[in-house]
Amino acid sequence: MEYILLIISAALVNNFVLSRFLGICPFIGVSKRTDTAIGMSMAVVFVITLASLVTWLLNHYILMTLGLEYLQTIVFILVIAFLVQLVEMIIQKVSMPLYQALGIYLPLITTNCAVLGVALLNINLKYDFLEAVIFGAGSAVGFGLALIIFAGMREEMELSNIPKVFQGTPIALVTAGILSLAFMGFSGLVK
Amino acid sequence: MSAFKGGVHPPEEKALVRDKAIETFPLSPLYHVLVQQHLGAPARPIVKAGDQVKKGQVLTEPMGFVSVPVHAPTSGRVRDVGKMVHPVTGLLSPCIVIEADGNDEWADGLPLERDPFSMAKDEFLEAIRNAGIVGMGGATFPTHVKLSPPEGKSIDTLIINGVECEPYLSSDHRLMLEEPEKVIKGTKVAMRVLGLDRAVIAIEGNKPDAVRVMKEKAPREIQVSSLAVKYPQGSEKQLIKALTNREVPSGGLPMDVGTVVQNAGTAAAIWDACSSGIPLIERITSVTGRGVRDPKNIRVRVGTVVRDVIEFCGGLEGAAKIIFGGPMMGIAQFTQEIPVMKGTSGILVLTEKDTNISDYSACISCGRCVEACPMGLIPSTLSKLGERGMWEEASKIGLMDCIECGCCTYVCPARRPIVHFIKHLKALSRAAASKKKGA
Amino acid sequence: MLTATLVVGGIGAVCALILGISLVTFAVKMDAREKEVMDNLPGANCGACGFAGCAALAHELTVNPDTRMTCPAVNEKMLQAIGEILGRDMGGVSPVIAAVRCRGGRQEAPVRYEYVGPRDCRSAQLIAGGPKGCGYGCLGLGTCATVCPFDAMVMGEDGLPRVITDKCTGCGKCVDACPRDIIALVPKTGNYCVGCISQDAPKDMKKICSVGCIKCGICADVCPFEAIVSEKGKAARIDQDKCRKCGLCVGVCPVSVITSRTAPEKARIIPQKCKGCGICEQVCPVEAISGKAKEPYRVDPGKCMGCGLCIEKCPTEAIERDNT
Repeated sequence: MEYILLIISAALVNNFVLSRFLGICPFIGVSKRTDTAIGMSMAVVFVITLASLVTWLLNHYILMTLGLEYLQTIVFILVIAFLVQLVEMIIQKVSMPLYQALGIYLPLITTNCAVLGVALLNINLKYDFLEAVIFGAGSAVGFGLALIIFAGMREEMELSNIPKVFQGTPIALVTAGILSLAFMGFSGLVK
Repeated sequence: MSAFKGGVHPPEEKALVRDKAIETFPLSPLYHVLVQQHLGAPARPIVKAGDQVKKGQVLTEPMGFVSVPVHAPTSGRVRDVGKMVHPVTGLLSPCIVIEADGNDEWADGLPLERDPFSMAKDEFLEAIRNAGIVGMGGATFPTHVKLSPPEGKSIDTLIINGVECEPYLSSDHRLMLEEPEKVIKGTKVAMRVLGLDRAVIAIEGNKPDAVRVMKEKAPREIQVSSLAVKYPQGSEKQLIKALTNREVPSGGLPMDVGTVVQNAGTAAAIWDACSSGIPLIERITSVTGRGVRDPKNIRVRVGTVVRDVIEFCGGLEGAAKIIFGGPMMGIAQFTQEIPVMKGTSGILVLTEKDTNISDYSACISCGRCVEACPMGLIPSTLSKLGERGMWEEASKIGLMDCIECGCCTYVCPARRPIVHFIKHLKALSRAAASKKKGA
Repeated sequence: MLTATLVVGGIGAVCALILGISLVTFAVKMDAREKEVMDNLPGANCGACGFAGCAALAHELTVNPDTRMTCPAVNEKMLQAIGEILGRDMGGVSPVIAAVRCRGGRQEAPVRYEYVGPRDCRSAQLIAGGPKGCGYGCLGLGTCATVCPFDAMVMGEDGLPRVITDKCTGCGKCVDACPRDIIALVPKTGNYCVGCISQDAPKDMKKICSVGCIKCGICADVCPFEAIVSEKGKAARIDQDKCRKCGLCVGVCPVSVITSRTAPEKARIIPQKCKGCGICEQVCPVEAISGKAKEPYRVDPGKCMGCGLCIEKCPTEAIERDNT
């Protein structure tokens, strides 16, 4: 039961993009079309879940044992960069069009504050292994959800007559704000 | 319960000509017979300037199976084989001009006297083809092709379309009231050709007198069905759904679900062709609308110039738009120098009040068009894609399934010309396909 | 300190090992030419070519042989290299610009019916071939302006589109969009263009359009460089390769259908350098230069059309462009 609440909390109530405002770069950058958004979401789910897992293990068994907690940031970034490189290679092999569509945003997952954020939050909130992995997966799903919803909305907006001053980024930001407001409705779901 | 989803209820406006008996349009001094009056492969003129022709004489040679000839509407002399504005495309098209000699003499041997029910199937089809018969509901698809479905398509239902769902028009209505036997006999011939022992004649409920007359005259094997009034009940696919509950698959034809649909006027023409060898040289047309002084139903010969027809009906009065066909799917004309064709079911003259000449605004996503579409498409998205020329995305959401009935345009509060956007997308799609083929 | 270095280094080494293995396992075969082509493009990702960046242009050039080389920033060396890589002729560096070949606006060319429908020239063309009386002229609904990605095409009050020279990159989107093929891509160095592509008979032109080409052929006759093609029944056409921009044709056209993009820079003789040989007077097609032998000659700015022939032929380089 607790794990379900954990997922709901990570994905909806404290949505990484819409409540914590982390990972905005790919949120605005890769949400022009739903199919690239789905591809990006899957890549991020993969990276965040694995990152949660690996960083937690590394932190618990190596860093904490050796009293090297101060190395968390460096080691975590190292691991995340490694995972992103791996994902890049896999995507390039599996789907070249997706690889080209994601473009620069794929390696940018490395510097995505959401990924590092999850890794560090796992430590801060003192989750055990299973909780850490679930929290990671849940957050990633929430990230993906926000991305895909936003992409769907932007695709519809492409076909609307938006005033010239608002075309492109301005209307996207306004919409993102309204979407955030909508997600605020989830607060209070989980104490 | 509704027979098909969607649809609209525009005002019928049939009172203008519904109760007016068919008047025969007098002989004209000049006839302009367009060479292409059918869907399909072109035909080649076989007469030249100076030739003497008789009424019913064949003027063109079809070039392919899906092609039919045209015939001289009266006897006289071919003035020339020139060009005239074609009412469907609006472009100059080949046209045979005949100066009438006033004798109105039939070609040798015509009219024949034969018993159609002693003819074999191929004889029927040949007679129908040689008579130049096409779908007279407006689509002008060659009838002999429709009545000869390919091997593997078994037909079990014949539907005669007397629905006439377009507002203003009453040509099929008057035909069924005044010449019911012809329609019924033509239906029987079609049944023979298709090898069926039953058929249905469908009539919309707003023509109770026609329903009554047809029911009286029809033999037991021909059922007369009165359908609820909703536009576009007369559209093939919607008609099939209402009568048989079968759905023609996307991109498919009625024969894919074992059905053949023929217009009531076509049925009458089939009878004329098979019993007397008379080719399709005249038809019943409703000249109606408040923009013409004296609306009438006329029996008019193919090739009569519209200017003369309108004059016969009292001339124009406050006219803003002239349409060939009905207000929902008809084609607007920019000149009166156009001839009546085989598929001209109506000549509609609208006043400014009765037509929508206004600028359109952005789609407000109200969804009225989605409710109205009888094919279950999303016209609002199609119109937005049409504004941007995005035909590939449109093809993915059923662009080619659109029957261009006009329900969406009729209900749109933003007055968007949705069918026009869709026609634009279809044109872009065809251009891209032919570019690809040619490349 | 040592432990820390070892830990971080150790983790790094493990990651590197795994990545090294993956590089081999997940190797992808790419069309190597695409990368090479991209290396030979300017790399500015400006989008002037009409594609989303240099990588996109490289991709299109490699996979689609019909793609026009629309990069305005590329030089001869790059073009040649790309040509070698792809095995085809990429053409020379000659930037092109869009030219609208119609001058029949609302005033000049009447319509035959009132068009009501989508504000798109292609849509209007579907209705009986368009509302314009002239079957070849501009429909004025602005589809070319709408599709231009650089805002380089603007609809004027008269119902005709105008090219904004500074913004046009010659990408050709307007050319594809026009249903009547009125827009053509001409070399940027050119200046004159016949504003009509009509093939209607001269006797009908009066009621079709007051500025339509009447196919009189006078422009072709008067051109000193045989740069104008006047075929029977077709509007005149300027061959930009031969045109020397003397501007004579503009003056003789009875319907003033030949347009010029810019006002040409006139010639000016530097008196100190002029030896009075008179060659310039001889070559000038509009008789704008006069003078006495052995004394400095003078250009009449009122007549000079800026063709630059005199500048070319002067043996003492005594003539320059007057850009005051």
